[in-house]
Amino acid sequence: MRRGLQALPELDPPPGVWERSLAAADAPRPGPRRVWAAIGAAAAVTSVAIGYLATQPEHPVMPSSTVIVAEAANRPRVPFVALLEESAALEQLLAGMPRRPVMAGSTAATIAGLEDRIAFVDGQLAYAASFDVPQRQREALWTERVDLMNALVHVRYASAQQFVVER
Amino acid sequence: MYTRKILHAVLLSCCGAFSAAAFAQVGQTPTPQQELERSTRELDLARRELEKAAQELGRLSAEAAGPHTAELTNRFVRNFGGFLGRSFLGLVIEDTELGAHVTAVTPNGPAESAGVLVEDTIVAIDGVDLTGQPPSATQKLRNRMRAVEPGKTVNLRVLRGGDYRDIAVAMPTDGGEWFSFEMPQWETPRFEFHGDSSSWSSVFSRSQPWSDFEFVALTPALGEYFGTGKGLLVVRVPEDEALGFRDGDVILDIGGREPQSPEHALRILSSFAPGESLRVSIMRKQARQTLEVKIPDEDAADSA
Repeated sequence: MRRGLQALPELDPPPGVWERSLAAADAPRPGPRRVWAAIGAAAAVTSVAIGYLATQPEHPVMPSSTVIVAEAANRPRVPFVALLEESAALEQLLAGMPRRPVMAGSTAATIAGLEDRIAFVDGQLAYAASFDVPQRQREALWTERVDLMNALVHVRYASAQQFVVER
Repeated sequence: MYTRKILHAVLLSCCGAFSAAAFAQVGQTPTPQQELERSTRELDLARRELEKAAQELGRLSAEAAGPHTAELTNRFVRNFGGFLGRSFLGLVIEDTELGAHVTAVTPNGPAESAGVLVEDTIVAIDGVDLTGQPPSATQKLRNRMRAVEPGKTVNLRVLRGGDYRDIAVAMPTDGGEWFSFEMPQWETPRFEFHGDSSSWSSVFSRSQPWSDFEFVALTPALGEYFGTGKGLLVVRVPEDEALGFRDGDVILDIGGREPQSPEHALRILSSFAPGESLRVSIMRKQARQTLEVKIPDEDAADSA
């Protein structure tokens, strides 16, 4: 595993990341829950990657797309404040992620589609904030925003990984 | 009813598989060409699975929120008229004593591009103080934004970590290279919820002909080699490419619109329906050309 980690190439910071980091350092410190959410998300992704290294040389197990539509259950209701914190934590993760200059059409379409949908949800959230919209509706929108941001972070992460490999 | 928990798990496992394929490449000692090609295929497959899961999650998430937000969505579209022809910051804000507090910044939106961060508090816009007398800070901001035309710049004064800073936010031209212009049929909003959210993003469903292309936004230095200072370089076209593009083409405009990034190009391309024709200006071997491109019918795309 150590050899695998040592073999990782250096990754130059993307344009503007230091400026964003400085700006973030100036910003009010996030609450402990947000920090833990961000650390948790990063740790989850990292642990999967390191877990794989430990089990080399087995091939990665590809999840079947049928799994996506195979289960039935409800997501437990998440407290409103926690949704806002999770959304903010995902935004911070996304801002610090390197961007890959070369992009496949399918990746570009996925990112564009997710961003468009987030923009539309944000439009509704802004609209909801100015009118007396029931809390349940706002919660549903924030839940959707967190799901979409989570998906966007994953796709950006994968794209950045490919960038690392190619360099 | 599907579980998004499972979807999140699938996303994570896809990402793990992707990392695995990536580490498999960087960690191995020099191997035969076949081994490298196998790893590359696995990497590509993992990326595709991840993207498929991400799209599915987006669709199901919209479906899950739909029953709670359908009425709000329809009201938003009806009263707000969507984003077409309007200027938007791409922010979710709420009132506080100090001003309009930013609770979310839309990825790739105008405010994010300008450097606005979540947790900032906007205290003034174009010199108009948002604090003090009614109306509220968010209402004052909205009132100001209604008068801002696409293509103009608004100046925000934000409070961040106890310091004030001024941020200039450029509004996209013509309603947006960002979001709005991608809705050519906004009169019948495709986001209107009728229990079927399968068509919530045409950029997913119409991207098939372009899926295997690879693009990179041209930098000025790179552009010197191609005879143009801007555009989108086509790094690779699929082997069965039938639309007329070649490796090394630089896309200058698509139907008159200049793509700024691969994502932007896909937004533009996906705004054309299957069977439609469009003109694409390109640079090929440093000479300007125009390609007449016909978007494949869906049946043809499916069978491809």
